[in-house]
Amino acid sequence: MSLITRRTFLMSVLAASAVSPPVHSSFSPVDMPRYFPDDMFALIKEIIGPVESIIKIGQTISETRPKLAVSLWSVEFVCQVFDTHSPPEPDRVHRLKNRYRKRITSDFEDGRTTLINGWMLSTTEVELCLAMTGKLRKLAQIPL
Amino acid sequence: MIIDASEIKAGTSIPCDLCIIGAGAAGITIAREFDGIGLNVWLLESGGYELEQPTQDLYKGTSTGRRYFPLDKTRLRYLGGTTNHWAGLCRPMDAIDFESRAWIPNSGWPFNRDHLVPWYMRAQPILDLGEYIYNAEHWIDENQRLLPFKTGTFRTEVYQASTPLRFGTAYREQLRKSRNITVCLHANLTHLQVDKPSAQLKSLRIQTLDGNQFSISPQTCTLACGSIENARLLLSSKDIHPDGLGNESGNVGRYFMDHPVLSRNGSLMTTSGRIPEIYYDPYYFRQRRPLYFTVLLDEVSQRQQQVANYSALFFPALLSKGVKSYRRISRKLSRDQVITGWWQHISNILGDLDSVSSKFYYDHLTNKPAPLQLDFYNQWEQVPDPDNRVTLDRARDSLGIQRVNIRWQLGEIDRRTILTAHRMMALEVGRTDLGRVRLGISENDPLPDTVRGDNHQMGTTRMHENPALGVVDANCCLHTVHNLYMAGASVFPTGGSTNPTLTVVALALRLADHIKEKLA
Repeated sequence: MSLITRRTFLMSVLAASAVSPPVHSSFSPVDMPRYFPDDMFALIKEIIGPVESIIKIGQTISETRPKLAVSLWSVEFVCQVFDTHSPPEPDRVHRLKNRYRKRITSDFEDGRTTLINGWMLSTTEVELCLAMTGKLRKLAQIPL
Repeated sequence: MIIDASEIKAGTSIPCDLCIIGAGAAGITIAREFDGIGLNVWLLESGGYELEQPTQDLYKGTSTGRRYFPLDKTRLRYLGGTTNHWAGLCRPMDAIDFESRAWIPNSGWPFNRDHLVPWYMRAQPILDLGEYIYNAEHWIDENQRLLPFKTGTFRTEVYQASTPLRFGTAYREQLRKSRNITVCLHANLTHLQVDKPSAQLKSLRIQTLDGNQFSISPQTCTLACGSIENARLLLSSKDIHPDGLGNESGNVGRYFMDHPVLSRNGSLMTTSGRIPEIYYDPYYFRQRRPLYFTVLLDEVSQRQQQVANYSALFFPALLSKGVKSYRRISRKLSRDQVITGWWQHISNILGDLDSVSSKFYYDHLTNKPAPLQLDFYNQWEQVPDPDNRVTLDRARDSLGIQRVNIRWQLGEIDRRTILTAHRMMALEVGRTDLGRVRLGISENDPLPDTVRGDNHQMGTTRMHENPALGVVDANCCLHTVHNLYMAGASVFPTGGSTNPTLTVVALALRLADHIKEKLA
């Protein structure tokens, strides 16, 4: 892991607020989407995959690999996906999708993979599933 | 002509030019090569035209190590031999299989694959196969494509499927009509008598199950009884060496191999249903012959990863109980038919709601192809190990010959081969976004008990130029007996990952050419 810089710290705080369920309030900016959860789900499905699958994988990972660290790249990416101030315009979706696809390809090319229940997944997709699960469950109103 | 051993007068000694023991794929192939060329050839078969239990019981034996097939079930002892129950898949061995590979102990044939190609080509029609082309690209249409594996990782080839040809049925008429070949049924070889000073086989003691005995004195003899029986016959003939004929260096019976198989172990889940159907279509025919597309670990990867050869076939995953019930109910309802076992179906569906709802979604709510799960049928090369061997047991069969014990075990390279192949497959499938792969075994786990052989017995009288390291020379002649040859997979120094019958027939043709030259 790289050293903590101011940028890293700020990104982590931002990501944490996006990923973790809020304690009491729902007044953080990321919890006030400018568009509806269904749009968000469609965006995520287009970029990564069906929300139900992400939640399922995320839950399995949190059970089997509770101490899994999430890379800065994934933190940044989650922030961009959950950036509710930028509507899911085709250009943005395309850009995110390409970025995600390239990252996954390079993960498999470089051997950055993680085994979850015998399935070999790219480490990035594992991190994203883990990082997104809490937020997605909240949006989908699935009890935690 | 075809005769029965009981017709031969007891005590008779029959001279001949060539005597072939065993009328399976190798024995019949060699015999047919001598049809009509003026030499007196005898082809001896222990059984008759059909399976007879007392004869089949001669194959009974025991095994130790990893669980192996009952020895009297894995082989058949009647005209046509084990081709009477083979599946018919054929493919030549790969070039790397013939090489001496530093990371595979005891590997290396006395010749390379190119040397064997002319005989491979001649073997094709004998096995009722098409052209000698196994490159998958040749067999697909313009609108079809192969999996886009990175060069040097995996490649696709095809198995050509024989009818499957039963040699005893297919070639019986030719053998019956032959003027110079005598097929003698119910004739069991019980002893090989060798003249030690001249290192020549002098006579063969033959016996029927009902007690008739006679002998054959051939100029040249070929044992073509399969890997286990070839070794058994040599080990049982102790006239010139107490450990058996040709066993001066102790190699007879050793290096016994089969192809380790793990069926439905490891699977591939597609993300977009883009796996070409040819990989799992059991009815893909070209030139009126079925073809099976197989994915092979490329030799570049074998060298880099220091593992043995590996191949996989893909099968669609078995449907879950719930989906089966859902499909049955849907089908019956659409045909206005009565549904029986209603409550059982409902119970199956309720217990499997995830799979059923997914199936419903892809059937009715979207045009996208459903994710497809393909299971792997893994077959790979076993590293030749001298401790895997055929030995004689104390128990004797009804002819008084000692029965055999097989020791079959797998080692670390055998384990690492399938593990590496699955890992590499997972990386390639992920890289190309075809889907994701579930590995069949874990990094530190031993091979599961479900690993079995594939009824491909090989080794036991291996070919090597050095008598200290093998039993037969490059011409398949025993190092110590100059007119006794071995035919079949018992001479394989290594077995590759492909089914052996095509190579067995190619080697039999090569041996027939050699014997013809010698007898001429």
